[in-house]
Amino acid sequence: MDKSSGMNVDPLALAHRRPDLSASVPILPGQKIVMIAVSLALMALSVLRPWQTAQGCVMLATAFYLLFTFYKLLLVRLSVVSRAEIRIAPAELAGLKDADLPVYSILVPLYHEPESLPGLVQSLVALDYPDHRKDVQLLLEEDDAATREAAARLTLPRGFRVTVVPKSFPRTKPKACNIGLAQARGEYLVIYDAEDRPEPDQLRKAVAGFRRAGPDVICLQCRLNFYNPRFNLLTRWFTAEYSAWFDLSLPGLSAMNAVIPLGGTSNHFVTRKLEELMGWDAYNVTEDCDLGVRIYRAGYRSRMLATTTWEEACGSLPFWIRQRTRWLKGYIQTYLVHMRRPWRLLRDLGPANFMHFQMLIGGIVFCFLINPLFWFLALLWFTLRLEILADLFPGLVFVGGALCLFAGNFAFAYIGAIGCYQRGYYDLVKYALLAPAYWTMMSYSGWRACFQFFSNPFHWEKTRHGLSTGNQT
Amino acid sequence: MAFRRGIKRSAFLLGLGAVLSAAFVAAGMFRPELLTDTAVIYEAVCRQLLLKTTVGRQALVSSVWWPPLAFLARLPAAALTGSQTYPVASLILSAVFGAADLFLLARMLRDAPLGAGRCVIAGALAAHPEFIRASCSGGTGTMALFLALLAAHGLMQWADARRLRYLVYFGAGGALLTLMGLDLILWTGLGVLLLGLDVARAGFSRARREAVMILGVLPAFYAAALWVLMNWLIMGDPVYFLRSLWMAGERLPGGNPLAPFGSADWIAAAVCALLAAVSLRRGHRSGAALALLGLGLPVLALGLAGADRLWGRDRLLPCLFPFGALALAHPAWDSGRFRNASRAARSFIPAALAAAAWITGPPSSAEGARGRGPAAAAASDAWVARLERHVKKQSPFVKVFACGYDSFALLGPRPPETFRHSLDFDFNLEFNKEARDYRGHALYVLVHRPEGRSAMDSIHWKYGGMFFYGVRSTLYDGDWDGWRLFEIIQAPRVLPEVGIAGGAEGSREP
Repeated sequence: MDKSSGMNVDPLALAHRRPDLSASVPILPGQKIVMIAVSLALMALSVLRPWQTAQGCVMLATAFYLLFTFYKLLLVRLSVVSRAEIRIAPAELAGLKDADLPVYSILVPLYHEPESLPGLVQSLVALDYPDHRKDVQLLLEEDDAATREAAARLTLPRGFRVTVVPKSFPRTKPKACNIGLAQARGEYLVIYDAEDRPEPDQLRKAVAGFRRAGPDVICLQCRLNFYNPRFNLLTRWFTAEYSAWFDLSLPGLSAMNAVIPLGGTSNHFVTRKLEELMGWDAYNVTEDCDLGVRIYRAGYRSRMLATTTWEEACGSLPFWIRQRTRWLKGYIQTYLVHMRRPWRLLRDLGPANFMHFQMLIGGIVFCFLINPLFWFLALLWFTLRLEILADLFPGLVFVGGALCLFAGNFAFAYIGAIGCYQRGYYDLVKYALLAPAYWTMMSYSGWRACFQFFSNPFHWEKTRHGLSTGNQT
Repeated sequence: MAFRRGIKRSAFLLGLGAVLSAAFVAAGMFRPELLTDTAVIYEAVCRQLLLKTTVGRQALVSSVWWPPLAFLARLPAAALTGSQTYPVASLILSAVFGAADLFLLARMLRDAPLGAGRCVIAGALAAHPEFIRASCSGGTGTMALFLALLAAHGLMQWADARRLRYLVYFGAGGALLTLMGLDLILWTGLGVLLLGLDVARAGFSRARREAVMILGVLPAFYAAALWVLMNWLIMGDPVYFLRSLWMAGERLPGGNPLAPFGSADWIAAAVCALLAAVSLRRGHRSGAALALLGLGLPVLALGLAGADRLWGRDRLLPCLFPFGALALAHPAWDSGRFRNASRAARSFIPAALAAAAWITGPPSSAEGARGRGPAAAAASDAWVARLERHVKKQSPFVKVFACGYDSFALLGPRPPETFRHSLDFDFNLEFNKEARDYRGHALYVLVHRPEGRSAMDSIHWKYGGMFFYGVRSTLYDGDWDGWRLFEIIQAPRVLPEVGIAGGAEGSREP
């Protein structure tokens, strides 16, 4: 591969060479047939045996809820074990000599974000890593004149360069990252977003982490959190969710050697291995999550690294809904791509990771989709006391359903509170307990994602940043 | 690799736990005299819950003396075992928690440099006759002990290390204890008080103090709020389950409040008191938390006895021996001086505990319960058949409302057609849905003598003195081994003078 020009690279390599692993075709005809057949069977059963069908569905959903609740609690419990994250002690960090540090590639895709550039450059310069070993690429779209002009006006420090991404379909971040990957010179590589503020010693920690981890570990995911958690109620809830996800759930997965659905930024890779995996799927709108699964399918592993990158929490509800819609749509894409051949996936991942995949990727979306139905049933039960609803939950299912409603929901809110406390956001603990209102917005986004998956699968709904800082992009 | 090692270790411990549980279950099966009627009541209510009957739901939530968690925890086993006569689910639960208690105790002692001594301490608990009885009785003693140890472990370690996970343990333990009945609610309250005092003295910021209290205390409040909500939904009165606390009917004298204290209890209480004094003086937070929680057990037990709530304390005292054991072992990990003590000195603690477990005789209390072996069950069936024959002499169309939780021990999960369980009986038949359904039948009410746990049944706090003097519109029929039968006097079915049809629409015709 020619690393000098980047123009000869194929940013859609995965779609071209391994279409079975790409979301370029969102849903295969065979999957469509299965979905239609299942829907028809359900409809037929609903007509022939409506009561039993409803009871069966409720039973399955309740069993899933119970399983999911215990799964989340298990993750939280495991997040505190020592193997949950790679922790680099200051002494170990101090032992790293500049001369021993490899070249580190940093990819920063930007689109219509000229205001973010100065802050971004500043935070990348602040990274405690020798300038001559930094290989920073600002990935700018060909048609984004404003950002390109802003970059041209800046005097970029040593180690920085601009890579122009040609205008072509699909217009996604992973496609830009693939172009950056093709030109990366570093032994390791990391992705940052425009508004990211990584901890200054993050690159050194990643180097030490890779050296300590086994050769099969090719990706280190850093914790993500927000520098504007108290901007409004939405950012408070968002922070609670992120704290629980990145500080509790993902370390719990890491402790179990489980598939880690990577977060969109601050993923550190071994560059050569990432190239081997053909980079990101340019058609997947949560390319990070998909890559996290492909890493395991290829026999490699990801680990959590105990260092934080600070981002900006989206404080605008419409934009938050768009962002969440994109994430959940990406989860649907990822699930359907990897479930094209379930037996193959089972063989690649092994039974344990196969179950993790089902719970994390499919389960989360499923939860958001069916939650409103069960909330509605609970509301009907409390307000109208319809006995017919109780009959929908036979025997132990009723107990399980009540457990999920009263204990499960509380447990999820409590986990958010634990996350806030763990992060030191003591004042946010009480807001985390109001999370059920936040979940309704997630469910709305889930249904929106579902519709968008069928109507506009590759559409990338960009998040608006700078609301809290005044630099709106 | 570490993960695989962890899995292997967990699998080994699970296997060991399963073997221990199986041993307790086997002991319970082979010595059915250890079983109590409390176990039968729990099991019978579980059956009613699985059948989704109204009385099952009422039994789940309607009394602060009958913990909802004890019913809920048995449900899966009850659904799987399907036994109608023998309280297998209760036995399994008490056995599993018995094994879990031993592991948790050993886990709590992990940080103490006792070596194999901690296994001896766990063994001392396993050999304690009261513990064995609790593990084989099908009651809730071992479950209560597990939750109490969990909460105590959380509070101790939080006080010592300020690590979030221990605060969460305390929160989770407190929430579950709140659903375990009044005695343990009060004990949880003591834990909350200690947490509050600790936080107030810790020098935290206001936001952090709030956060600690939310994480540590809110689960317990939430559990209590759920109990209130369920009472509102099921009983139509949010505080129905608490009414026995202040609407006391006439009860029999409780007897000597000190009687259930065995010598092991006195020793354990003394050890806790000693540790409390030393820890408070030296500012050892974890020691003080453990000792004060341990001391809270006998104090609350005496308090409940003094308030004439005798049977309410019976799960507190069995927790005392393990707390005494922990208090005795506590200096081993809390004091640097002790840490360097000789091996002989360190082994003294487990040896002393083992001796205490063997030598000291246990008190004879198991949740205020009465023994319930198969012979008792058979006798009970014969008794019920006799009573049924008696009431049917008057009319073939007859219903007997057996009041209170004891009716589940008496009648089992599926009472004969003539009998109905009742936990909210109302003598104003217009308000009594059950009785309304049987208008035209001869109706009877069967009430247990108000002693011990039976004194807390709703029939006694609703109609104080009812057992002794009856109420309006009832006629004394006879005494039946601690139960008293009353016939309800009803108006004729049809009142032609005023043209009112007595048989309501939908009522069952005789």
